[in-house]
Order: sequence, then structure tokens, then C-alpha cells
Amino acid sequence: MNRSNHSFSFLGQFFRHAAEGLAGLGNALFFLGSVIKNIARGKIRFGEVIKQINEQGMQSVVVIALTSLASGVVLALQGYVTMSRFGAKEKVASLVALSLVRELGPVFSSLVFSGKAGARMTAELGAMNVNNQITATRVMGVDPIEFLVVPRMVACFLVLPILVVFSEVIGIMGGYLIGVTDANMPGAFYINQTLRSLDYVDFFSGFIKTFFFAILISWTCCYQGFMTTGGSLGVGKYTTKAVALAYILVVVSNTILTKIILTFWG
Amino acid sequence: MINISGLYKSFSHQEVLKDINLDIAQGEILAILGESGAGKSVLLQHLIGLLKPDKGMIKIQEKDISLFKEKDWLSLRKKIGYLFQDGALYDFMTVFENVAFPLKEHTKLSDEVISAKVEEVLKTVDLQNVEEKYPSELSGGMRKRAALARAVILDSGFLFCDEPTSGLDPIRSREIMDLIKNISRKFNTTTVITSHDMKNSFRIADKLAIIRDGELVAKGTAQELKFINDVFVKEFLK
Repeated sequence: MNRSNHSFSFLGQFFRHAAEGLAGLGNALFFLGSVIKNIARGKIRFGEVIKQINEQGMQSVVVIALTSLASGVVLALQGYVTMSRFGAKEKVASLVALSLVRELGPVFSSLVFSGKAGARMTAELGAMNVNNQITATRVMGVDPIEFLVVPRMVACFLVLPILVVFSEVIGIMGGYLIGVTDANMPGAFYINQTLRSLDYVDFFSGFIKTFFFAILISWTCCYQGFMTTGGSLGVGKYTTKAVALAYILVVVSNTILTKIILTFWG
Repeated sequence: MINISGLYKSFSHQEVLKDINLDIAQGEILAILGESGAGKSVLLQHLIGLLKPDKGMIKIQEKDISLFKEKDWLSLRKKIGYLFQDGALYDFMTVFENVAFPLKEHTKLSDEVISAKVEEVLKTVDLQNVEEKYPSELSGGMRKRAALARAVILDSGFLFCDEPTSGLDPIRSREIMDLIKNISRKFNTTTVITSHDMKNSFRIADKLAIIRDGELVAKGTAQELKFINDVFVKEFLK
């Protein structure tokens, strides 16, 4: 009797959580639909977009540069040691460039961007929500999605790919530093090897993914901001949740996108 | 003119408003009084479309707003000024930008005309030389006045104020209620105020309504309410 009650209670909880999850996904999709509808109707406030590009870009650029430089340096150091075992140390430049351009640049930059600009989006919108500023926007006859969300999402869609390319260049420069100083390669040789190893397919197979990441990050972070309740504690809670979700979405979607790209594009 | 008839609202099976019937004439100031949790703010949120009634009808200028969709509301809200309890000014805008916001959104006025209008309204609410300050740099009373300036900048026909004196000292409370009265008279707005502030509400309102546990228990002028023979009303008015 007790066991069967426990089973029912467990099943009840499972279905309740599943129903809540589905309702949440439905709301999030409806939210994204409203954003797309506004963009399709040309309701884009370009002044706000430029302001957001500046804020999101400036806020993330230094951290992304540092992360990319460190990634390039570590890749070159590890690559040099590993490749030397196989007598192919001159391939370090190719290893660094291909790793950064195809995978690490887009993924690392997107993760760092989620933690900086994404967290900021959720915290800003969340604080506005708990202080009634989003309701005030509606009450003043202005669509808050158009005024607050569309500029952030459009800015993210434009700025993240630029940051990714920037991070790839910085990362390759990090690899160059090690190649020239530690591996004693001539600078011109390292650059030549880098350029020869990169094909446009390599660049675009990574670059295309950043647009998906930009949508996922900005959608998740703006939506969580809009859902924020519970005062300043709520702002902290939803911001953490938004960043964690953005990380998961970037990593999981990267796996799927990589498989799709490799299947069709090699 | 606002007509509310047979308004019911409940949240999770708990009835918050029960059969509210209320008429508010053009240019009238109505103060809705009641204990905390009586349903005053819920009633006000129905008037601005933030909540939909479970039953009943609300008419603003002969239009049944209970049937409105969000896009209908976006248009009607341009005619309504709403003063939030905490002001709800944008943190990232200066006082000038906050007050100018409705004009920039809903009119095609030139920057010069907008500047002049903002200056005039800020003068009306006795708030000058703070145009370039951010809301976080203002005192509670100044924030309320800036929010009031934003609420009336469009010369809207309606002004709804949710607890305009909460968090203010008696002097500032008196000032803000006087301002609401002056602005209502100046722009001939239909004004609805929810408040705990009995003294000031009695002083400035044309009519008062008392809500208890979601029910309207009394309505009338300050003089009329004194003669209502109801234990709660008598206790409340003490």
C-alpha cells in the first residue's frame, strides 16, 4: 500500500514537473515568436541596437581577448610537445589555427559572452521587471519586447560573430608567440603554415555556428530576465539560471551543429 | 467616464474582488480606500488592463475594455497616465529622458517642443534643475514627482495612482496629494487613487470608495461617508 502510494506520488511529481517544463518551453517559444514578429515587421530601434552593440561588445572584448590568447598559447604549447613526438612540430601552426577557427573560437567566445553580456542582459531586465519598469513600459503603450528585447537580441546577433573572429585572430597570435619563441619557428613560416592550413570551409563551419549561439544566448538571457520575480534575490537566481542554461545550450547545440556541418560539409 | 459593473476576480480560488459596481464621472477624483490586501491595487490593475476580470464589465469612454486584446490596450494606454507605487522610472534614463519618453514614443513633436513641455511639466510638479540626474540620485518624494510628471505629460484624460504617498513622510505625502489634485483640475483628468492615506484622501478626493475583503462597502463624498451606518466603515474612518 505504502509502496504504491510512493509510486503514485513519484509519478505525480514527474508529470507535474514535465507539465511545468512544457509550459515553460511554450512560453519561451511564444516570447521568441514575439521577437521574430517585431523584427519581421521592421520594428527595430537602431539607436538602441547601436547602444547595445557598444555595451555588449565593450563589456566582453577584454575577457574574450584574454581567454583566446591563453587558448592559443596553451594549444601551441601542448601541440608542440605532442607533435614533436611524431616529428611533426611544424604542424603546430595548423593545429592551432584549425582548432581555434573550427571549434574553440566560437565555443569559448560564446561561453565567455554568456557569462558577461548574457548575465548583464538578464540582470538588467530582471531588475527592471522586479521594479515594475517593464510593466510601466506596457502601461505607457509601448511594447516592451520591441523596446527592450529586440535591440538586445539584434545586437547580440551582430556583435557575437565579430567577437568570435576577433578571438580567433588573438588566439592565432597566441599560438604564433609560442611557435616563434618556444618552438623556434621563423615567424613568416608560422604565418604561412597558418594561412595554408585554413580553407574557407574551416572558417565558415565555425563562423556559422556563432549565429545560432547568439540567438540561443540572447533568447535565454532576455527570457529569464522577463521571467524574474522575487526582488534582488530573484535577480541573482534568474541570472545564474540564465547563464547556466546558456552554457548548456551552447555546448549541446555545438555538438549537434558540428555533426550536421561535418556530415554535409566535411 | 468609467463604469465598472459586476466585477469579479479570483486568484487560485481565492476571491479578491466580489461584485464591484462603481461609476467614476469625467474630471472626478476618486480615492479607493481599504486595508492592505483588500483588493484596491487589483481593481486599479483592471482599469489599465494588467489583469482581466473573471466576470463583469469595465467601460472606459463607453468602450468595454474587458474584451480588449493587448494591441487594443497599447493604443488606449496612450490616453492613461499611471503612477506606480515605486515610480517605476527607468534607471538607465535621466529625469528628462524619463519624462520625455511618452512624448517621443507617441507624438511627432520636435525636440525643442518636447524640451519645453518637459520643462513645463517638471515646473508643475515643482521639480527643477534635476533634468540631468538619474532616478537613483533623487529622494523618494522627488522620484514620485518625476513619475507623476511622466504620467501626465501626454495630457491624458485619465490618471491612475497606486498608493502615491507610500513611503513618504506626512509633509511630502500632503505635497504629492495636492499635486495630484492640482494636476487633475488643470488637465481635467478623471483620477483614481488607491491609498491608505485617509487624511489626504478625504482632503483632495471628490468621492471615496471603501473596499473590504474585495467588496465595495461604501461610496460617496467625504460628508456622505460620515453618515454611513456600517460598523467597519465607522471603525475604518476613525
